[in-house]
Amino acid sequence: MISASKASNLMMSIDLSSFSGEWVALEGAKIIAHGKDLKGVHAQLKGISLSKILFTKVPGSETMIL
Amino acid sequence: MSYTFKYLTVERTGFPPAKVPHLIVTLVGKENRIFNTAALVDSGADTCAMPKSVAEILGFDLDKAEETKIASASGFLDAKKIDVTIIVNLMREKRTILAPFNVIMGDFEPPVILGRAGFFENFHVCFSEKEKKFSLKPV
Repeated sequence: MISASKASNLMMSIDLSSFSGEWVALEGAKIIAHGKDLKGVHAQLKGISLSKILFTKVPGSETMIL
Repeated sequence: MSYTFKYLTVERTGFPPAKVPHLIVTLVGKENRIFNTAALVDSGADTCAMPKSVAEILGFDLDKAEETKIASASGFLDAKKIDVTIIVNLMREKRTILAPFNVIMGDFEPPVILGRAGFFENFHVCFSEKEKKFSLKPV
């Protein structure tokens, strides 16, 4: 189980600026997959247990008002 | 006990840095499939929401889910209703919540959104926009 605080701090220690608007899969502080759509990122992780993987959608250049 | 989280800050070329309140949660779907994600904490969202792709990774059969419409700034979106378990692993306690989610159909893939119904009602949530942080206190 991923700890909210630890994972958050770990994620914020990574420079995600190159991945603006993308989904990123992290294992600890390591980016193991990324891409424009989540299915594509998930497909790159075939055979890897998702229990230790953290997915995040990196904010893009748009202002988000849902 | 109250837990404080800094906003996620991402530098962007040609734009001001994005600063968003996020919370790391684990979503549990069918057959205990899990999806750990940095979810957007959104006090303006009536309910929790996720893109279709996340629901599919969690193993939900969306063909059988009830249809609905949700209003967004860009108009009405087709959605499906599902119930998803959210696990929030705080430092000294773990909260497990069964929350209603709207699954956003189509290609729009926002982050997972933690809205008021299903999520906020389980915590006292306090935002400090000036300090770019928020706190959660389980209720």
